[in-house]
Amino acid sequence: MSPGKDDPHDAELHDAGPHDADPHDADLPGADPHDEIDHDRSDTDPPPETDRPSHGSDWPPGPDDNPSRGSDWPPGPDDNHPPETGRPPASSGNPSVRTGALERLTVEGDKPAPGRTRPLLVVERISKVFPVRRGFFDRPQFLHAVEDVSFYLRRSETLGIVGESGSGKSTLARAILRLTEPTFGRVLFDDKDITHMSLADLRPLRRRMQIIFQDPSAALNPRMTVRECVAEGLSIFRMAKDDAETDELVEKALSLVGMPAETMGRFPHELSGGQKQRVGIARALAVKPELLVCDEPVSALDVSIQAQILNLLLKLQRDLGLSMLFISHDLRVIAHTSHRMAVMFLGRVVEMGPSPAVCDRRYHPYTRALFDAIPKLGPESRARLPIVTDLAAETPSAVDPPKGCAYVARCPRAEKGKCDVDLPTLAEVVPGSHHRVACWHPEV
Amino acid sequence: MTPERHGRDRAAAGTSPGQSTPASESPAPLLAVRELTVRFATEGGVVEAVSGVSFDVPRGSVVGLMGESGCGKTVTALSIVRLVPEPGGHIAGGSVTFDGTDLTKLPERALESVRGKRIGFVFQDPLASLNPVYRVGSQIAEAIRLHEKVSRREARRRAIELLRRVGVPQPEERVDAYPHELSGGLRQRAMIAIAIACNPSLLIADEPTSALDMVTQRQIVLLFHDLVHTHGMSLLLVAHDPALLAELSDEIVVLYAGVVVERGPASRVLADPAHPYTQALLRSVLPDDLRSGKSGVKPRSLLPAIEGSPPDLGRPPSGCRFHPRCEAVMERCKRETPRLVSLGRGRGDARCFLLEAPSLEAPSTEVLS
Repeated sequence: MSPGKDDPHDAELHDAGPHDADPHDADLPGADPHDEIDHDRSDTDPPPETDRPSHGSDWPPGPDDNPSRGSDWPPGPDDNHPPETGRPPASSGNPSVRTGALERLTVEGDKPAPGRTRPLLVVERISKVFPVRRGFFDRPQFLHAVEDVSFYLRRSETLGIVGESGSGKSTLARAILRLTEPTFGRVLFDDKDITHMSLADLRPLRRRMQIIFQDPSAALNPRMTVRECVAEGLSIFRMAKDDAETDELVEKALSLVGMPAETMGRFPHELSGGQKQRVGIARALAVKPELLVCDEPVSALDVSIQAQILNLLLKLQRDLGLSMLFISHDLRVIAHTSHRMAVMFLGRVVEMGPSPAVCDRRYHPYTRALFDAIPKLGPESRARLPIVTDLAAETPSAVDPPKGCAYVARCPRAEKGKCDVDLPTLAEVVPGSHHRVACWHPEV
Repeated sequence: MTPERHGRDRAAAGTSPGQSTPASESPAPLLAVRELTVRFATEGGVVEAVSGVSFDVPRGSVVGLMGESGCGKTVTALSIVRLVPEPGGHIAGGSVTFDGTDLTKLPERALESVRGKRIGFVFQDPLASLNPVYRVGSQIAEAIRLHEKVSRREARRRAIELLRRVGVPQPEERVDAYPHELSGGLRQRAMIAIAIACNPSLLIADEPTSALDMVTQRQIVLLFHDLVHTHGMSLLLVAHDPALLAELSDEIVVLYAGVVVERGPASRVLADPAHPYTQALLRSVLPDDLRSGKSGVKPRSLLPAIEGSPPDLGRPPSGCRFHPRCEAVMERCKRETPRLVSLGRGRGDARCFLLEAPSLEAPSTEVLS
């Protein structure tokens, strides 16, 4: 375990508070964008994208009276330095911010940061709220797909995000890449705030962040040959001067993913599922990205092909130094591929830490349930079947999320009057372990 | 369509399960598939998707049909009730004996009373299988009223009861929901409710959990377990994930490129796989005990994957169909086709020359037929 707290890199990150960029921030005490949406504007169309100014006075979200954030918000004065001015006094030493939102941004990990560089990606308190309307005359309601998620990703690192369907993990990935506009929060890519950037400014950065999807058949245009699929990005970013160079680059990308050059003229329907996924990866890699978001890249594939594709992604990361955000509902996949992992439930991160630590300790009852759900190959597999787990209960709706911990309905350790009232925040169980859990009664 | 007997190396007859049956000593199985061969006429010629597949589903047990996409497992499952995709597909040989009746010979009208009533089907994608414009309850009621003379009110009452039985919370409300209003897990439960609406004795589930996340998958596995062990249904479970099959199956049949390469009791197949393909497939499964040091596979290390992809069935490889991907390939494998070799009493059989060689210490390799 690294000393974490006195790591200069660590301290730098503490600075990256959501407020820093905006000088108007201090003028807006109590302007909680969540409250605003939930109550004040509920009879108009929700504001998220349209009336959000790119750097307006009510942005980024100001301090609020949300009990979940408690006394640790707003952050102490030390935290108000802009991220660029590194190394202030260690704000993490301030007990008032121990469980705070900024704490969530601290460098975790049990090994020194590669080269002590700044992280490639910093996600700050990002939320995504979708308006839903049951009937035409109904009051609009809001689906909180992602709620207040913060993390960072170092260069050449893989962060795994695991959770069941509906936990918001794909929405989170899309919001980070601005494939959908985040409602609150911001994303720093290579120190640049990409959330409030114009699309024209974002465009050159888009080359550096690529995504591969779950269903390769749906992600590839059936009327394009493999060459056209892979070359599309090259032409968008004008990376090849002529056809010959395009061919060369396409061939190179295909060889990276283990596809022979002969497949260039094929159409997606002539390829197997595994080959299609390889083309999807080649397409992403052709433009030489630094960040690769993998959204359930192996869930639609056979077990035997899964192993091939996982091997390929692991090799590519090693060879190309890619940073990866790896999203899956399958803990086995996340545990195998990721340096660190975040467990999501109903839009929030409930546990986060170095993958081996999360696998060994499993503080959150939901993390435990996820581990219990892993099908076992061994002889104990059938013996454990009749055991009724807490999985039977339903997940609460993200349209009207519960006030306290969202997991209460399914939690065997829930305490009435506490868990269903107060929202737990992510905090380290063992200080310095970089392993955080949002639970009032973690399984320690 | 008259199914012609396809003269293979063994006499294929549903009436003499004897030698080719994995569990020959037990009473007549509920379902006996013998030498089933299914062909498709395509532009590129005839494709044999299923070649002489034989297996049993004993009463009250779970048989897992394991294999990669394109290995013929879905076609096998559909052929049991003669739902081979038309046009082009047809059962070219073999028999499917269900409760004493050969379904391949049954007239279409008689077969309709078997499908849905005595054999229930659950498919991979419940959203594609449920009709989006009808309420879930009326689709369950339709399945009941198709086979039984009951009033609408009674059918609705039973639909609610079925939804409760498959673990849908608040079934009185959910009965009036449209499919899109339900989560993936609830939709799959609704699908299962339709499949079991008429109390079938056999349930065929084709990748029932592949579209679901792991938590929901576990719930569905528990539901199947309950249906089999509390309600005495037999289950033919078709899946690519050995770990899923391990949780439920009593017996496992491994298909590769339309051919049974191994079959036997699940405990033996999973713990001591005989065929190089089964061995390689099981090795490529991600470790399930994720505590540090508990599995032999280090995190972020390369997994022992099976290289290559399954063969194109329009042009199946010569000899053993697995030979191009096999680690233990011999010259003989490229020319000759191996037979299913018994692995000893109660251990099932496998199709590999390595097991035929008398020099190997394989337990008493008695060769079938």
